[in-house]
Amino acid sequence: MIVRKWLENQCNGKYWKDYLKTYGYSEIAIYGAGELGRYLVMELQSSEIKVIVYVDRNANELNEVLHIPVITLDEFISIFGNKVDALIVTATSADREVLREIACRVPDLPVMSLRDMIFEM
Amino acid sequence: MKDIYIPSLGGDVRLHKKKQDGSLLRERENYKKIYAKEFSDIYNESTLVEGFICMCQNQRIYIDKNWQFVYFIDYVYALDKIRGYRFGNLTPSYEILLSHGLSELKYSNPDTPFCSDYNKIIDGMECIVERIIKEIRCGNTKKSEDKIRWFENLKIRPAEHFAEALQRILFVNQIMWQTDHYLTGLGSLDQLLYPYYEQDLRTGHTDEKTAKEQLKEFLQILHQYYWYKSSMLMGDTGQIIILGGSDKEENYRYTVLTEQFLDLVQELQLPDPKLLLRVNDRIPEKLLKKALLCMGTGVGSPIFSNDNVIIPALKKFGIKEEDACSYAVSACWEPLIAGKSVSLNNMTTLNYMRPLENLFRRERLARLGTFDEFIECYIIYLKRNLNAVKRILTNARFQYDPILSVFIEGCREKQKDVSWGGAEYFHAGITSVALGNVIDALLNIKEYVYERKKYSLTEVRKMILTNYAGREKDQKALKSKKRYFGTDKEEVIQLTQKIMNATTRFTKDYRNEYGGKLKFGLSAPTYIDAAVDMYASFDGRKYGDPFAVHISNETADSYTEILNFASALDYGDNRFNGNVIDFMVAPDFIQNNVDKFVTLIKTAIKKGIFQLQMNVVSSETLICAKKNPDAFPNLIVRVWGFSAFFIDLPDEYKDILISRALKNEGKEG
Repeated sequence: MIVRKWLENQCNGKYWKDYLKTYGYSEIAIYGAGELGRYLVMELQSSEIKVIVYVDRNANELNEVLHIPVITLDEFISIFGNKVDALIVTATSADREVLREIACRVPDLPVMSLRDMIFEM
Repeated sequence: MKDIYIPSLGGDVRLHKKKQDGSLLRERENYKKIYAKEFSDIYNESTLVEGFICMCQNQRIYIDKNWQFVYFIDYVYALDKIRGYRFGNLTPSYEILLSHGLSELKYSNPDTPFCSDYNKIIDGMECIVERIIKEIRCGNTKKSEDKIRWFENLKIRPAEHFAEALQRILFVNQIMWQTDHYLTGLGSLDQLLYPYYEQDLRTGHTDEKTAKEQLKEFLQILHQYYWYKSSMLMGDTGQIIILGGSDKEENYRYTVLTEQFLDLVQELQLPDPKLLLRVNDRIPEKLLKKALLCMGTGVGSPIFSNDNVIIPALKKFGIKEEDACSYAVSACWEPLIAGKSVSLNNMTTLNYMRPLENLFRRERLARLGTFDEFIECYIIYLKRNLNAVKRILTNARFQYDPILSVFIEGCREKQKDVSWGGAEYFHAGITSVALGNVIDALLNIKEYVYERKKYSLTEVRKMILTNYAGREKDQKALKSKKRYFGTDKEEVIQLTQKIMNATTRFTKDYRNEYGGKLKFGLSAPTYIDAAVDMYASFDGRKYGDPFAVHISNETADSYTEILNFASALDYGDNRFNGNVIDFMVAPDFIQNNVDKFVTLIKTAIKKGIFQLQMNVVSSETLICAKKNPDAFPNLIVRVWGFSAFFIDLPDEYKDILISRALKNEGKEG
């Protein structure tokens, strides 16, 4: 469903770079270095929005994806805290869990779900 | 399968009362999967028209010997394969078949594929009629001669008499249900039937008593397939009869049948079919009192719908004056032009809580230094959410439906199917939920964050995203506060109107592929389902708890307060897709204060409420009925926009009603 909506957005000239710009973001982190996380980085590569880091529970095995470092959520919180503009969750199953964790530990960091946003563009 | 109802044998009232766990709807689906397989296999390989013809040739004809009318639904031969977005929640034009015989509707020169399909559909209906006549002749049923004459006439000429007109309405209704047109409405029957009634009485063809008995049987027959017709919940059948209403000169029009429908529904005490009484400020007090007394019996009907507000809103939206003056509603409340409109009034739900939740998830809260900035930010998120809603509407592809096209005015004349824009009106409607919770949450933010500075926005964020973990006291304090929404404070009304107006601003330019516009309203059946996966909110609602019901406030000081609130809102532009106030009333309250209640409602109509429905039941009765359902098999309550047996409802709906009744009686904070 998400990939279908993504394709529909592209056919209608709706891109992530423009959508994320409406929030005023320039540096983001992505939760989930799987397929959707990679597509998002690829789409943002030619834009002004910089993906600083991937956050993934399998960070130790992945190390780096598309030349972007992959770290765990604990590492992300201790290293970055709220120093990025937003954390975008592409792993839809982890959405709620990540949000709760961030709300408790970095209450001022915006967290966005790719699943919700893809319909709003 | 031993408890399953045998198809085509009429009445299922006894059966559904045996079941109390809401599992009947699931059983119905399983039943269809097993017994309808044979027909499904044929139907899956054929076009809709071929499937319809097959259905007409093979469905079992059942004539109930106890009734003078013929009405049956055969689940095995139901056309229920979805081939696109289904048309439903509509009222067909019964008038088309009252004023024509089937053969008169056919195209004499069916030279387009649609005209050819249209004629085949009529052929199919003629086939059913022939089979019914044959079955009546074979059996020894009540008033066989009358029935045979009615069905012979149905083939070739308009209806002539009152009972015949009732039979034709039943025939159209039966075809709609048999072909999966869910939530089929009944339209303004007091107006539609009156010329037949008046003529029969004048010519001595019938008498008042006989006609009333026929009307009673008509209502009982429509109730028969309650179980089969129920959609999402038992009782959610969409069988709504519209009564009374304004004419172009704003006079109030009603007939003797209006009163008879009210009398009969009160007498039968069945939740279905249900009644909607259109009202205006000129409605005779006698009729209003009769309606209130009917409502006071707890039957859940009628709901009141205010023509003073609705007709101008429909006209401003682009509905022709004569059509606006004859509006009906979809299954619950959403105004609809019966027989001319295929506007789907409940295509999706706008959840007003989602933008607020998104704001807390995504926003740098520190930048929102004032309450006004907070509201503006909420409105930006509302806009984003409405983009998602509009997208759902745009992506809907409608099912080709020459069956419905026969009963929707405009299709025959334009030679166009309903799915190609054949109907006069093809707008899109959405319902909305949680505005009450949002207003409460926003005004709590104003009070506690910006005025009293008790919490920071970040603390609020943490409370709602962690479901008030460690902050249970705060949650309880918020929960037990008197609600803002539904009170007549200027600030509450203005904020509610501001959000309604913003919704209009972001939806008014929407057009579907046939030029239809988007409309919305403040009532929705989804106050439980839409809340399931939603975080806690700053009105004290916890994660997953239901949203408030429609326009309601059990903590309000008086009924006047919520009536004033609802009257002060502007339902113009596209904000008229159902805006119902939902009262809880103690049973003896209406009986003991009926004249005061008449005055209260008349004043509210003048002031400009949109719609009003009531649950007339006490918390004590509801609690006892939940504990001991067998002792209350016939207890009726109002849910969403319909009436249902309390016994049939899932527990979460029972609990909401109990909680609301307790609050209304001041027994729960």
